Amino acid sequence: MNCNRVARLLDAYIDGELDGESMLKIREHLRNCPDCESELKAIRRMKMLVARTLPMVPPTDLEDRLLASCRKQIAESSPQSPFKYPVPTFAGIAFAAAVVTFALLASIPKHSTEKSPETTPIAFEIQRDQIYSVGLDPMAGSPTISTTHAIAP
Amino acid sequence: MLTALRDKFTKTDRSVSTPQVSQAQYARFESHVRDCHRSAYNFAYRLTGNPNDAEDLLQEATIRAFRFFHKYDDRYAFQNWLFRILANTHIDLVRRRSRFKTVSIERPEGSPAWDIADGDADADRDLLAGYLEAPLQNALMAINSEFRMAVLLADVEGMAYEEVAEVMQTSVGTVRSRIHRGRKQLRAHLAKHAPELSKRFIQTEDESDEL
Repeated sequence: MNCNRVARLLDAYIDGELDGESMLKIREHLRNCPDCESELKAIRRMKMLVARTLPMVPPTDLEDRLLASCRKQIAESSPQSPFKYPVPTFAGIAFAAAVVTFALLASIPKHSTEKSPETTPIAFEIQRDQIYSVGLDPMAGSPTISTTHAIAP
Repeated sequence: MLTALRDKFTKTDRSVSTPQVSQAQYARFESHVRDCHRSAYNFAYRLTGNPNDAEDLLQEATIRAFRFFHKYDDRYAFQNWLFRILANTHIDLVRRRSRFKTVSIERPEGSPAWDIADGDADADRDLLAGYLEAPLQNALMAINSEFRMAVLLADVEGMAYEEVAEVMQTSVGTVRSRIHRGRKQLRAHLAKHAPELSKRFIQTEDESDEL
């Protein structure tokens, strides 16, 4: 191992972050290379200087203030807040309309569908198209769409 | 059109469901914050170089941590998770501010000494640390923030490179290189701006001319 390569690995060597083989090779190199040995000492001293800085002490009330700001987050997102619920969008209104139509279709007396079985697929198609129009994929399962079997007798 | 509407639907759904926090969850979060706010403050201080910015940074990071606490996996140390958020928040803030101002960490003459812990460790060590404090913090502030972060996590927090990599969300190889370059820049800065200190505490006799 040459000096350039060793110089790049000395920090990791000091930190014990090299594999055993590299550690041994570097140790061997250091034994015969005073330049790298002195570089090693300088890095080690730099490390110790940083490591020995004394911890900065936070103000005594800091932890309470930190937690208070988190509790404020909860308060702001509570149901009282006007931002909690989304403003009705076009999609929301269209979805509501689809639900109402579905309810109306479902409330048609059963005997009428029995008298004219050809109306069933049309009702189903209208319902399906309305649900498609609000961007809800009936295959995705929410909300569930009744099948022709459910409406048909 | 359909997908746009569908996105709108799922987005509003999500915004409603995020802020649900149970009592038990909050209690857990509180105990974690109380446990590690000291080390987090110290890290924030070393990153920013002054108490006001340290508090702002820690405040912002704690709120972010709280918001994403449901994603915290308690197989990992909470402190490391918080440090990761702190590191990301710091990088965001540095990017946001870097174009507008340079932070000056010079203290006015005669201002009270650094707010240092009065532990029961031996007095000489405290005296030495107090003496080195300002030039060292200046040097820390002078180097690249990612190098600074890696050096602090390894040397102050005593983390293994793998932990540093986890906190900084990078590879161990990158951490190794950041620590190497960070320490090198620290030494260069001290040699230039605090030559006496550098000669006394870092350089060995035979290299004092090189730096």
